Amino acid sequence: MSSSVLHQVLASERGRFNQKFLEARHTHPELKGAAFKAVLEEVLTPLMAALEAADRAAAAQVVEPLYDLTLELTCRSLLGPDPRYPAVMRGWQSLLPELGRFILTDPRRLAGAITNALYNLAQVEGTRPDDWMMRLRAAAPYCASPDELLRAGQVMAWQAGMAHYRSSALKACEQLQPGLARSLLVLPQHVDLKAALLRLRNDPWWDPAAPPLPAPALKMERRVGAFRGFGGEFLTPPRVVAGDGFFQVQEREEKWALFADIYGAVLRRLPPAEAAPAHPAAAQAGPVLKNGVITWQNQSLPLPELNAASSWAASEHTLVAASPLSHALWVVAVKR
Amino acid sequence: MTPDKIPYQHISASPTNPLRQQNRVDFDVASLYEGPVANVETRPEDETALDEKLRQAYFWIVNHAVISPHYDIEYHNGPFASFTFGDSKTQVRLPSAQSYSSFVLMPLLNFAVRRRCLLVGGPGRGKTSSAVLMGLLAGYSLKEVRRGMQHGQPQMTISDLLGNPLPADLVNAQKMEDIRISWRKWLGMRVKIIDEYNRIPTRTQSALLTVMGDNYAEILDHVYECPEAAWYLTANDDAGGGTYPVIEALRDRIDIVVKALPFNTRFLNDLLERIETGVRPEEVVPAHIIFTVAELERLNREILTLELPVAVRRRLEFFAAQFEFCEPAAELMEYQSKDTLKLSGQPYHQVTAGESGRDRLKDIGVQTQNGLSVRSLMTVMVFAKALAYFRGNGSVSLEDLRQIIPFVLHDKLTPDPDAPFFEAPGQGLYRIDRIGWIRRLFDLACAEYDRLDMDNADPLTELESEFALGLSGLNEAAVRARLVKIERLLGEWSKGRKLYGSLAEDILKLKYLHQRYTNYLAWLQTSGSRP
Repeated sequence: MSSSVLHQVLASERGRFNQKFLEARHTHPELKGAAFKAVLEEVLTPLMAALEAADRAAAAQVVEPLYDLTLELTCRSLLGPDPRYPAVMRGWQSLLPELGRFILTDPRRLAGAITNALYNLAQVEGTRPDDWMMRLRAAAPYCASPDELLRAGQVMAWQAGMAHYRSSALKACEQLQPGLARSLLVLPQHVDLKAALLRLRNDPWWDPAAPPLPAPALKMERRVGAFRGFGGEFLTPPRVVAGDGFFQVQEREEKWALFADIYGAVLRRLPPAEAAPAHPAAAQAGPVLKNGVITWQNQSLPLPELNAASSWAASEHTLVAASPLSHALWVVAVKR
Repeated sequence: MTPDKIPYQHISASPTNPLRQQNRVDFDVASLYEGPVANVETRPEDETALDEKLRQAYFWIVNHAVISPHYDIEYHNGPFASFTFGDSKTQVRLPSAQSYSSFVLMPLLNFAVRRRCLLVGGPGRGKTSSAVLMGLLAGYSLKEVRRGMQHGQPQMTISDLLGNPLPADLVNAQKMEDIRISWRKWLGMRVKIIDEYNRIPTRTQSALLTVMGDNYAEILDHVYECPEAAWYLTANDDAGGGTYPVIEALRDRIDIVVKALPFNTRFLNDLLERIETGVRPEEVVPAHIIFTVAELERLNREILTLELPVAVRRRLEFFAAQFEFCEPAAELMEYQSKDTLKLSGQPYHQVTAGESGRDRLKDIGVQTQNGLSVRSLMTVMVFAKALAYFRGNGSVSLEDLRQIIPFVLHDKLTPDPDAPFFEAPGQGLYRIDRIGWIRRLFDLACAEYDRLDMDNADPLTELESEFALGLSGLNEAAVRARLVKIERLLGEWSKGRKLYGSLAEDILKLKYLHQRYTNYLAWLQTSGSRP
């Protein structure tokens, strides 16, 4: 694939573009000419070809901001032959060419925002950046403006596993056109959007896209956290207490917030000042752990690994337990 | 050049201080689009984080404009490596947290708090360039900044500095109000630069003092009210070696002194690149780091409202209390100050030689010939808040205070070079190194504070907190109990404790509390209202 616009603009001001590269290398001596050449060929050229196909005249105007941005990202090893986060590279190669009309309007903002989003998604363990890209690509034709596209991206980031964004993503969802919001939440026709948003706010385990359950049930949803030596978060087995809006996890002197919902589970480090006061282990209507069995109303879920649980905490919807024999935390959901 | 074709536009990506990022938990989905690519999401004006913008300005200056690869404002986060060099056992510490160059940071903090900064150092070290950059950050064009800069020179008149009456009005006017004044444009600028201020004649310095001190200019009964501004004065020599001696009141108005650090020749390549590219950084300041008037106002407001915790404030109180006290200067403790001695015109050493009983090596008050003014203490607190704000913290830390004090008190504390402290082995260099000396003074004061366990065992804490609750509703018995408590404490202290500056201030505070309770007691007894 080639882009005549890119070729023309670069050729017409070759000296200046080369100067930019030299200046960038001054700040980042590790920048290699070959790496940036590869980015120009494998990232910028296909992107410009797509933009050129959409609007040739406008495409010429965005060459320089995109050149600058690709240079900046190459300096930071986010683009290039061996990128720090391959998802960012994939985003530039497969997602940005599909967002042509938005990129042409505001190239740095859009491409920068998508880059940052992919960077953030790639940094959080357990998220699904490729799902996010696929869904954003699918939603783009239904978005009226770059702002709407980015807002939809926020909702999708939560759905791609950024559970800590849940509350603010639901607020963002309220600001979308109802049709787009329904589509992002995969709401069946008969479900009212407002009612769905309310339920999502109150029940972290409700999946709007799933058929209704015949009866509430306890379900072992996932295990979160791992030994730091294997790329996880903890050096020693953590302990858990209830916090405000999230579960508070303590490991040695470090405190973490655990967010878990139907779309994912995320551990975020807390500075000491942010640590919420510990609450009683069990919420009044929540599940209870005793002798390796989790009980809630008339349901029970045996989890023998938790026979000697070091600590556990529960909200109305979720129970999180820790074992002295493991660096992971067990997340059990009350699915209604 | 269109904005996107200008070189040196790279701004450090947020967060410029990752420590700050650790200190807050951002669960807002808006942060999804914040990351390595800076400034892609525009937030409403009132949501822009100005501390981040200030840091971006700092990093732009050190990366592109002023080659100052120094980290003399050291911060540590946990253990750090340290190496010793040379016969003088010079320590080089490798900071384990984000550290800064004072030559860039202090002028920037001055810009944020709109005070008066003196840049000193030999010619060609970037003093004026640094001041010019501050003008550019305030949104002025390079041309405006250069035209607004006042160049000190021996023939500078008050008219040169402030403006002229219009000649036609001088001839035709029947009364003073009829004379219109053509005020100099720089008076209305939010960044004011006086280059080589120690070359200004004494009379013109007095006119400058009014503008600097009181923020207005006056010619022929006409007054020009200047806006709040950050001042930058430069001098090649801070020891008063200019063409004219700097009047003391003008020196006293200077809030912070910054020394130009020497150029590190290992960075010659950066200079070479500037020559080859022909780019002058001051001509290409990125729009993103320029502050609007509203932002400057907000920046100042946010800094001033930052918390100075009691524990940190107490350290400052203890430190400042050491210097003013001078026992042989008067009979009454209220007058036992170095200021009394200075006003008397008596030779300092002749009077202080009579002091006895105190450990002159341990008493850090002996090291100075003066105490601290209210103005300098206020300036210390303002700049400490500015430094904490710049670092993205919600309150001032002890280290912020420790780092800022030497620069603010640089010209405020006059050392006594004959003090025993400077005679001790290895400490003679503090006669030359004013920054190092003041920092050492603060460290010594803190060590003494810790030795006395003042954080936990300050006898005044309880009395002050009781008093802070107010007198209203106190009955006679309670007031008498408090009076007894004060008298008992003073009685204990009078039994053989040596009189140091901090103790003298504590005694006077107790006297103050005693008097307030005594007056209240008298009121209770006479008014007949005895709750």
